[in-house]
Amino acid sequence: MAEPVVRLTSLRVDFHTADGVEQVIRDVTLRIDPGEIVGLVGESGCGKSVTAKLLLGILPMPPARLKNGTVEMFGRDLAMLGAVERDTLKKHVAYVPQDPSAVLNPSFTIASQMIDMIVWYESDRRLLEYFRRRHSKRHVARAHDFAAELLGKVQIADPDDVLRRYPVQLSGGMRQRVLLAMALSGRPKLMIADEPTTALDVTVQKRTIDLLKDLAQREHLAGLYITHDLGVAREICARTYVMYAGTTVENGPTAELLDRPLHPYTRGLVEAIPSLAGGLPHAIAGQVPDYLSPPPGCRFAPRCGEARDLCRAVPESVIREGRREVSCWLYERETVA
Amino acid sequence: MSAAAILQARSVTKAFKVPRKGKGLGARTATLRAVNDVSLDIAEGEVFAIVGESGSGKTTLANLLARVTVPTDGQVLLAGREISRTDKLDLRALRRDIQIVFQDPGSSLNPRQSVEEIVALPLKLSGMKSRKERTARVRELLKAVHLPVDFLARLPASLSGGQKQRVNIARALALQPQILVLDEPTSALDVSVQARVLELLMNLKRERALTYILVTHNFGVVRAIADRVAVMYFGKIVEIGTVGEVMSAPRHPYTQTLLSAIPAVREADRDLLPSTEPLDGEMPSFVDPPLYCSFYSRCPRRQLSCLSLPHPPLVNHGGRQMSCHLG
Repeated sequence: MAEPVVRLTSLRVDFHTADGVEQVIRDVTLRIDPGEIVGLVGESGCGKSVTAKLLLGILPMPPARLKNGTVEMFGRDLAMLGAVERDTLKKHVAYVPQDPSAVLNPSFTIASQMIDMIVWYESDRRLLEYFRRRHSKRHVARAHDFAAELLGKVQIADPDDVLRRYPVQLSGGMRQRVLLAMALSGRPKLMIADEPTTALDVTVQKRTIDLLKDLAQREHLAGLYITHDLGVAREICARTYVMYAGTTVENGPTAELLDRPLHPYTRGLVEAIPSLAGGLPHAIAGQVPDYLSPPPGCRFAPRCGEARDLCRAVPESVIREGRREVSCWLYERETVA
Repeated sequence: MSAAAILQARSVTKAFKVPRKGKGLGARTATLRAVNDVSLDIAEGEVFAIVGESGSGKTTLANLLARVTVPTDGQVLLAGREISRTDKLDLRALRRDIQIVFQDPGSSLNPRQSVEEIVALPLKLSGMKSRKERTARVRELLKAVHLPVDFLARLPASLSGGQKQRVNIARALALQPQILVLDEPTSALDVSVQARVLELLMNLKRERALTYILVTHNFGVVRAIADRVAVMYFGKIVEIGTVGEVMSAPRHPYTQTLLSAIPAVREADRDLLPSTEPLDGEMPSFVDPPLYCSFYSRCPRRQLSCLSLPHPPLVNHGGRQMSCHLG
């Protein structure tokens, strides 16, 4: 099997705040293989975005501190790399944010913002080189053509028209496509998308998801898709990790995971979603733990209907049915020949 | 239906003037009809859902029904009495009948007021002078929404999203209204919290014989709590019927498109949805509305003949109101 694009192993991240040490990420283990879109789902505050920021290298440290575990990207351990090498790796990582209108500058045209980004990548992020090229007609014209090509890739019918416009003149779906095109401008190998369709209407969301899937395939992108919408994860992610209170509690092929959840938290999460067949959904009792003094052992135990004495110890993750993995004392290690 | 109708809209239209071309003296304005000739009856005790995408006019319609705004045309009647007039209407008295729970639980609570002050404000405004009485009432309300009484002194910043929404609900219930307008009441909440808020809303409805007007884009929520649903597109209702009927056998191509776009979580739910491929069109411009069916630009079933006809009226098609020439 090919080298994974991303491998996070037993990650633990603490936040040092005025109130004390918040143990936000307790145990995140995650793998993304080449060409695979992996989902990361969980409720607000579970550490999804912290994980993404860590991967992007934009998690402010301090207050955050990596206490344990390794972050490997393209087969290299980030902790072992110098700042320059890390920067080179980062070039291959693209980011698609949640709210397109918060990211695009309202005072500049799409063309100007896309050219900025393209020239910045082409100048290898050297400021002087960037200024020289940004004022060279030849470079700008070339970047303009590349911008139009990128917009074509995200199925924008009339790229030149969109390039002339300001962000407010575009619909939400269009803006999200522009950001997708911008994310592609560095010719990435990995795309990290943080709730990219949450702000969109369902019909637009559906089109954006289809586009993302298609794009990932054509551009051979691997992706980490962060969402709180399990239905969206099912549409786009081959495999999904479920996160609860800083722990990846379960992962496996998305459809199997949602139709037959193993971990009590995943089960609770699926049952909390209103069924289209009718009836009130079932809530999960209790509250997300306080990160300042989280429960020992399984972090879901205080809310779990099946908790036992055993749950006061941290459960180990076990493989089930070959390609599913769950961290819960309900399951025993499968004996694999 | 109209016999037991508690709230009625009679061809209400809400038009806004928007600048079109030019500036200063030569400026011209255009008329934008956010809600265009909508009629509906809401029966006492039902949960009536209004769904549609952003820009469909669902929030404007809810605002008209709750008398947050007045229609430019048409009437809104509460128990047969017109509430859409601007003159001689006692709005404070009206607020005893209709209250609103807003979408964003955070920004609809004053961050500098305690939970007690927030929930007591409607009581104070409606003339409950004794502070003791108000506090007693607020305590009751907190209990009704399952919040601990020691929350009285807390500030909104120290509450979670679900708790804030409970405070919002408590405030809306303070004057014991008959009708609650719920504008996306759970869309800012996590699913596990949403489930609890929905449960609470249904319990309150039963205990207090409330009528709900639910504005949402989430069909799961509609299926869970609503009785009837109106689907809006471009300022008009395109289909209206009971939730069971509309969701299991949608008739308008827009409803079909909308339902087929839902990313369903469970295998069983996926089988319940139609598979209509939406067209890649955009919603028409509100300032320059088409003379033909407003859904034409995105309709997967469109025919050339649709172009020569005006926008189809909402008429009965096999027991359900729907507006499509193709039936």
